[in-house]
Parts: sequence; C-alpha cells; structure tokens
Amino acid sequence: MSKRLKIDFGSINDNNVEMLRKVNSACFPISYNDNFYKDVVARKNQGLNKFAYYGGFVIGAVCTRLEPLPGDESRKRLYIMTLGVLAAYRGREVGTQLIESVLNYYEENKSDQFKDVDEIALHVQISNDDAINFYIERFDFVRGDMVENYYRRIDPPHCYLLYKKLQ
Amino acid sequence: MSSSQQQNPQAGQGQALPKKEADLFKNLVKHYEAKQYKKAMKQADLILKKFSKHGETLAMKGLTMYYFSTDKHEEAHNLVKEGLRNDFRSHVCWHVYGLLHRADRDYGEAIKCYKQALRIDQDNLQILRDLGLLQIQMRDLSGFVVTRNSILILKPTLQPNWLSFMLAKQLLGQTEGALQVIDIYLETLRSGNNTNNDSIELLERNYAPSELQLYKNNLLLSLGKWEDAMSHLNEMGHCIVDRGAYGWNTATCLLNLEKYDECISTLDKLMQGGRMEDYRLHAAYMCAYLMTKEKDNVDVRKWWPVGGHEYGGMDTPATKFQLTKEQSRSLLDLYQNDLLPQYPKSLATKRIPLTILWQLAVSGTDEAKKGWSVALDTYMRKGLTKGVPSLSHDLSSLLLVASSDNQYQLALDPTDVKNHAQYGQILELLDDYITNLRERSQLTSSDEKKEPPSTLFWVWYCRAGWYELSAQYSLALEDIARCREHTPTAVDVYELEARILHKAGSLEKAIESMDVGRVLDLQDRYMNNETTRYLLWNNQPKEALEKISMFLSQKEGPVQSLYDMQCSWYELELAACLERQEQYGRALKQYAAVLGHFDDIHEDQFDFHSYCIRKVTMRAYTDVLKWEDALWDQPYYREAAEGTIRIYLKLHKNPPEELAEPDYSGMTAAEKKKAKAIARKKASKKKKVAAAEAQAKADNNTTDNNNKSSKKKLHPTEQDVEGDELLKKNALEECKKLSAILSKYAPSHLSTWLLQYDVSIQRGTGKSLMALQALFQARKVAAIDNHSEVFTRIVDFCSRPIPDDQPAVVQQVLKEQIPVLLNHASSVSDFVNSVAAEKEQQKCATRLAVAKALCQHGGKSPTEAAQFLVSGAEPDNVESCQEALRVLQEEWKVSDESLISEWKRRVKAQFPLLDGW
Repeated sequence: MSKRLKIDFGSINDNNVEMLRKVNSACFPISYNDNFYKDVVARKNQGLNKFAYYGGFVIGAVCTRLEPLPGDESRKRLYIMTLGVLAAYRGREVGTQLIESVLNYYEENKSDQFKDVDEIALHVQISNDDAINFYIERFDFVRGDMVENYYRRIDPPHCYLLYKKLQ
Repeated sequence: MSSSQQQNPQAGQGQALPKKEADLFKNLVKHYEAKQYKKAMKQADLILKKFSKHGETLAMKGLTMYYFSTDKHEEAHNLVKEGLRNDFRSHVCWHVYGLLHRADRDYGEAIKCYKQALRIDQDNLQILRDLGLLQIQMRDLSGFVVTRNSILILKPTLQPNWLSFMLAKQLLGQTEGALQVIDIYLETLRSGNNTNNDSIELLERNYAPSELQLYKNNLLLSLGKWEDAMSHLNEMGHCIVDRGAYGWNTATCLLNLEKYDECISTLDKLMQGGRMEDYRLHAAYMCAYLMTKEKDNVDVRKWWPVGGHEYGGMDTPATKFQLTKEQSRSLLDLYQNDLLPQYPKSLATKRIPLTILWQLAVSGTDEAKKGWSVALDTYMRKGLTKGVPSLSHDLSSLLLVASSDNQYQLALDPTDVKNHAQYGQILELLDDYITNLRERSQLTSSDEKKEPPSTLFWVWYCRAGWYELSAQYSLALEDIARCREHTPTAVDVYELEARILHKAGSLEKAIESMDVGRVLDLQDRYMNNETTRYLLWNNQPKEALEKISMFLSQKEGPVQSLYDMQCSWYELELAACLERQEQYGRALKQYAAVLGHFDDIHEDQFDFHSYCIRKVTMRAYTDVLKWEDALWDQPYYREAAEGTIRIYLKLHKNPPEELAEPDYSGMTAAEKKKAKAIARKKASKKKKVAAAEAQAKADNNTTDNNNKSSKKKLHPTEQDVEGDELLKKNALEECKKLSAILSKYAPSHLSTWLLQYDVSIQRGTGKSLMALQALFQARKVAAIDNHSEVFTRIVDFCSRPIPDDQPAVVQQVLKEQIPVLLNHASSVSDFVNSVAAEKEQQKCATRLAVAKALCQHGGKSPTEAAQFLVSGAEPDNVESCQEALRVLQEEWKVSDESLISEWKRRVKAQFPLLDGW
C-alpha cells in the first residue's frame, strides 16, 4: 500500500465554505473570524484556495493569498494562511499534496499572474515542530526571524516566519 | 316571414343562413378551433348584427367568450343558454352547451347535453367522439363501448376507431372480445381490402405495430393462454421492437408451459442484454432453475403466481420461502458457478447468494455456518471500504423470521430485531472491525491490505444505523459522536444523527444537527428539504418556508411555486403543523391544495384518451388508466382527505366562535347587546386587517407588472389565505363526502374505517349500521387483535344505548352484532376486563386504551388503571408515552408520585433525550 492517499481537489465557494470552518476548527487552536472566510470565497482562486477530497469527504484544505512583500511594496509574496488536514487522515501526504498543488500552480503561472512574486511564506507557532519540519524538510523552506507575541490567545504566543525564495 | 324568423332564420326547421352569413359562421368555427378567440368573436358579432337571435351563433359566441376571458364565465353561460332557447332543436347548440360544461369539468351535465345533441343528429361523428372521451374519463365503460361501436360502424376505415373499440372491450372485462376485434382488424389489413396507407404499416416492423402486437400478447397472457401467446410471439416476433418486453413475455409463457430449459436460455439472453440487476428476472430464473433440478419439491404455481406480480423490490424465492437444503445448494451452485462468473459486476448477482447462504446456515452444519459467515464478512468489508451509506439498511433485509406456511417475513419491531441471531452476529463483526482498524488499520487480522482512514468512519456509521434498528439510541449516538470527531465534514452523519435524535425524543436537537449538515453543502436539496420537514414537525412554519425558499423561484414567490409544482409533501406537513397549532382555516387551505392537485392529476388523463390511441401506446395507456383508477388510494391523497375530515370533525364538535351563535340565554338585554357589539367589533376588526393585507398584496402586484395584474386572475394561493371560506362550509357534509370516497377507493387502510366510524357516529343514530360496518371493516384491516384505535371505538359503540328511534330491524341487527364485537363477553365491562387480563406487556398505545376503558367502563379506579398502565406498557413510541403521562397527571390526577416517576424512568430509559422530561 502506498503511503500517499489518492485525493481530489475542489474549489471553496459560497455553498461549501462551512466545510472549511469545520476543517479549521478541527485542526487549529485559534478560530478565524468571518472576514477570513468571506475573503477566501471572494478571491475565487481555485489554484490558491482548495479542499482535499477523499471518498467524497472534505478531509483538508489550504488557503493562500497574494500579498505585498514586506519591505518592498513593488514585489509580492504568496502567503499560506492555513493548511489543515483532519487528524484521522494525517500521515498520508495529504498536506504535501496540497502544498505541491499550490507550488505547481505558481510554476504554471509564474510568467504572467505571478511574475512579480518573489517568495512563499507562512507563520508558524514556535512550538509546532511537526509543521516546522514539514516545511523545511519536505519543501526546503528557510526558518526566518522569530516574531514575538504574534498570537494573542495561545501559548506560546511567538512564531517563526518560514519562507522559500521562488525566483 | 315574421320578424323573429328574420332575426333567427334557422329556428325550428327554418331555412339556412344566407350565403354570406353561413360563410361567416364557418369562419367563426374555424377561428374558434384555431384558438383565435378575438377573431371568432368578431365573426359572431357580424352575424348577430343581422340575425340577433341566431341560436347557433349565440352559443358559439358564448363558448368563445368562455375561453377568451376567464372572468366572463357567467356571461358565457348566459349566451349559450340564450342560444339554446332560441334554437333548442339544433344539435350544434346542444353540442356547444356540452362543451361548455366540459370546460367547467362538469362531465355529468356535459354527457347529458351530448346525448341530447345525438338524439337530433345520431350519426354526428364529432359529437360521438366527444361523448366517448367523457365516458372513458368518467369510466362509464358500458356507455363507452356502445359509443365506440357506433363510431366504428360509421367509419371503419380509421385505425383509431378499431383500437378504441378494442380497448373499450378490454376495459369492460371482455378480453376475448377485444382479441376478436384485433384479429378482425388485422385480417382486413392482410386481405388487402384496405387502401389506407397508415393502416398497412401496422404489419411492418415499426413502433406502432410492435406495440399493438405486444398489447395483444399481454391480453393473451392475462387470460393464461400460454400456448396461444407463445405461438403469437413466434409468429409476430419479427415485428416487435421492444426486445425486453418480447423476452419477458416469452420467458413467462415458457415458465408456465413448463419448458424450463428454454425459459432459462431466454432469461440468459435478457441478462446478457443488460438486465442483470432486475430482481424479478432473477426470481423467475430461480423458479425455472429449481424446476429443472427439484421438480418434485417446488410448487411452481405457488412460487410463481401468474405473471410473478407477487415479487416486488428485492424479493426472490430465497427471501420469501424456506428452501430445502437441496434447493439452496442448487441455487447456490447456479449463482457461484454460473451467474457470478458471467456477471462479476452485477450487484444483484452478488447480493442474492448471501440470502441463500443464510438459509443454508440457519439449520445447517458447521460447514454451512462457516460458509455463510465468510460470505457475510466479505460482503460487508466491500461495502465498508467503498463507503456505502445504506449498508446497514441493506443488511437489515437479512433479518428474516419464519412465519407460518414456510414463508419468511422481515423483522421490523425493535425487540424482534434485537433478538434475531443475525443481528448479534453482524454487530459482533462490526465490533471486531473497529478493534482491528484501531490496532492495525485492517478490517480483519488475516487481511493483507491496509484500509484507508475513511473505513473506520463507515464502520461506526454502519453500527450507528444498526443500533437504530434495535432502538438503542444512546449507543447509536455514541458512534455518531465518533463519526463527527473523525470526519466532521461528512454530511451523511448529520442526517443520521438528526434522525436518531428525533427518535430518541429530541426534535430540537435533531433540527440543530440537520441544520449543521445542511449548511455544509447549501446546494444539497435533500438536506434542505429534510430540514424544512423537521422544522414543520417542530411547529415552525415560518422558518421552514425560509429554508425551502432557498431552492425556489423568487420571481413567483415561494408559496405559489410550491403550489404550481404540486409539492404535496410540503403542503401536507404544513397542514399538519397548522392543525396542531389549531389554525384550522389555514390547515384546511393546505389540505385543499393537495386535494386540488389530485383533481388536476385526474383531469390530466383527459388528453391521453385520444393521444395514446393515435400513437398506439396501448400498453402504457392501459397502465395509466389502471393507475388513475387507484388515484384516491394514493398515500398523499389519503393524508389530505383524512386531515380534512379530522379538522371538520373537530369543527363540527366545537364550532369556532365567529361562526357559532354565542349562547345569549341567561343574559340580560343590556348584556346581550354589549356581547353582540363586542362580537361585531371583533369581526369587523378582523375583516379590516384581512382587507388591508389583501390590498397590500394587490399593490405589490401592480407595481410588479403594471397593467397585467389587474386583469390577472388571483392565484389559488392568493385567494382566501386564511381559509375562512373553507371554515364556513358545512363540516359534516364535507366529512361525509370525503369519507365516502375513502371507503370506496381506499378500503384496505385502517384509518379509512376509523374515520368512517367517527363520521357515522356524528351523523346520528340513523347511521348506526354504517358505524357498525366501519367497525367490522376496521377490525378486519387492523390485522392485530385489540388495536388501540379499534378497541376504543368498539367500547364506545357498544356502550351506547340501542337507538329506539330506529326501525325494529336495525335494532335487531345491532342487538345481534354487538356481542360479536365484544367477543361474546356478557357486557362492555367484562369485555374490557378480559382484554386487560390477556397479556403482561403491551404496546403503550394499546395499554393506554385498555387502561382508559377500565377506568370508564370496567369499574376500576383511576389508581388501579394507572397501576395497570405503568406496569405493562412498553415505552415504544414517543407520542403515546407522552399521552400516557398526560392522562396519568391531568386526566386521572394520580396522587401516587411513585407511579408517575416509575413511568418517567421507564420512558427516559428508552428515549434518553425526550424534550421536557
């Protein structure tokens, strides 16, 4: 049996955004506000925001946005807001496939839509070793500076910036 | 020439219209037929300018006006009647009057008019045809056959005339006669006397001739003429294009002719053609196969009644009859070594042997038991890996219980389910799967492959469904919680959770669950509609309408589009909800909407009478006629009719205050005046509010589409919204009408007779025999002894004094029959006490009915009745448990708190989530 679960991708829209809420609240200690979900739906970008499906069920999701690169307003970066996989389906490379699909999407569009994108980045709680290892070992991300008191309601409140240069 | 004749030249046997006007009249008819009503009206007016009393023109003008503007129906009637007065010897006028009645759906009157017209012009084909249409619509079959015979004699060259006559004969039960008509007709075609090209095609390979031959063949089969049917198929097979029907008819003939090998090869061909999921085909196959192997042990007449109509759904001989070991083995051999290798993907072919293996295992050797266990295990694992939500339901059809006569029945009662050996066996398998999956991601320890994560979800899901069957709701909910934790995005689990929460007693919680599932996928119409249904159950009509509106056209408004789509389930649930809220007018309005849909459905067949004959879709057409004949036995119709009767019965017993004359006796004149003034004020206030609402609605409409709406007829959903008109009707009269329909068309249902009894009692002692008959019917239909509703009514009826205002013969019948109802007990009290002594444990509803009767007629005190109730009622149904508590506390005012708390404890054990306990 291969380790990799064979998943399908699907879009996040007005009609199924509650699924994203369910995935996120099952995966993360913090809860996202309504604006987060509104923005994801409004962006309508299936390449950057998507569900992972297995056997007809939503089992995970990734949400990414395009934002100005801090320090250089003329350049941009891809920022991973959330990546979540339901506990029962972890360890089967579902997260890997989700990140891969975002990176592939970047590769396919780097000459037009993403021509001013320099890097892909995310914040991760300093205690979350699994996530840190996941990005660094599997996707060659680099650990950046620690941001103190990034989170308000969870402990520890500090996080690292993880990033990877794209071009 | 007198002046009146000048205005009406044709009156009596007068002369015809002058050429110019005669042409105008022809144009009038032509335009009417082309539905150019405006032009037709103009022609009529031109004629009437010169001959203002010309009867036929007046009549035609009236008919045209009827269709031209919907608000002038009365004027149209007056015009036609005036025309008829001026020329009552004209067949045209009578025909037109008939057509007008037909447009009003007043078929009885229309038939009378047509007959009058035919008395004047007996060979008028058009009128004969119109008469025939009404006769078949009204199922005046003996009249229909006469009419179609006249038409055939007048015009034997037209094919539809032959087909209609043949159909008329068949419907009248003269199947032989119908066959003769076909044969004569086909013979005229063969002999070549006919020059009509359309008809000659009937002998070629084409749709119409194929249908006609199959129709003829079905007639032969229905007569059991297997030899004739077989040779007919052999002779005409080449021109039959529906090969499926051809094959099925052939197989049926061969089976009945005891040519089993040929039958099997015919069925093989059908399966190869793609019908391997057809369970009826499998059932026939099994019968034929057993006859080749076990001829002496199978009674084919019993196993395969003519046409095999006993087999529905997933029935096969293996689910209906106890097979011998030899029979089971040969069938197993058939499936495992023959059919399964041929159709490895067929679900039916995989599922059927499971039941056969179970039969072998029931009283078989250890080896047989092993074989069954292995097969069950394999079947279940496939379903669980794949994620089949219906698996538990599918498996429940294995819970068969032997009844008398070596037949099997499904265990449905939760106690029977729980005690069934296979219930425990399957539960054990599910438990093992869960252990194995948690330890090593495998369903069984011997398994090679690892399961995907979703398998564990499906095992829990299946086990929850399994617990639901045995009414172990707490255990089911525990598994559902595990499912929710595992995959909170699975919509299926919320639906199952809602269903179980509801069964466990909490509608509120059920709605919450349903709504969580609904918002996960807003495009899931099923979840949306189920949420709507639950909200209506919980008496929240406003919220329900909001939910269902998400899937409805916003342009027309949700209420109107639900009505236009004939969305009966919603209207019925809403009606029941309003009925519970005692909004009887509005509830009646909803029930009336559903009754109206059925009138429309009945009316819809009208178009088929001529269309189907023309297109020679005789088989489908006769099916439709049969279905329409049973229309008033449809569940939705019955629900609407029963609801209407229930409400009118309540209104009859307690008329609403606005309608009833208040009791002014015992008041002084001043008080009376005051009371009347208050009542008047109330009424006028209510009227004003209603008028304002109607006005607001009308205003809305006019702004929407300015000039149209003022002319537009109000939609049925916009008229009399409160149902006040319905409330004003004579309640008992309405009950009588509907109850008569149900007794005639839906006599196999208990509720029909219970209501018929209730209505008869309200109609007074003059209807005692009707009530008596209803009780006997109810007792027969109920099938179980002492059904609570029947029992209560028997006690009610028998404790009434014999009415001395009735004829002696009626009194005599009652005196003779009441002891029969009471099982020959010496008195009502004895009857009640003997029923009470019968059983230890009973259904809650039955126990409650008996307890109440003990108290009222059995000479027992409320405390004794309460002890009887609490000690022996099974808490099997939420409603009756709640009713029992109400009776204990409010009706009997039981002072012994321990009895009440004992009852509450027992009910809560079964329904852990009961709201408000």
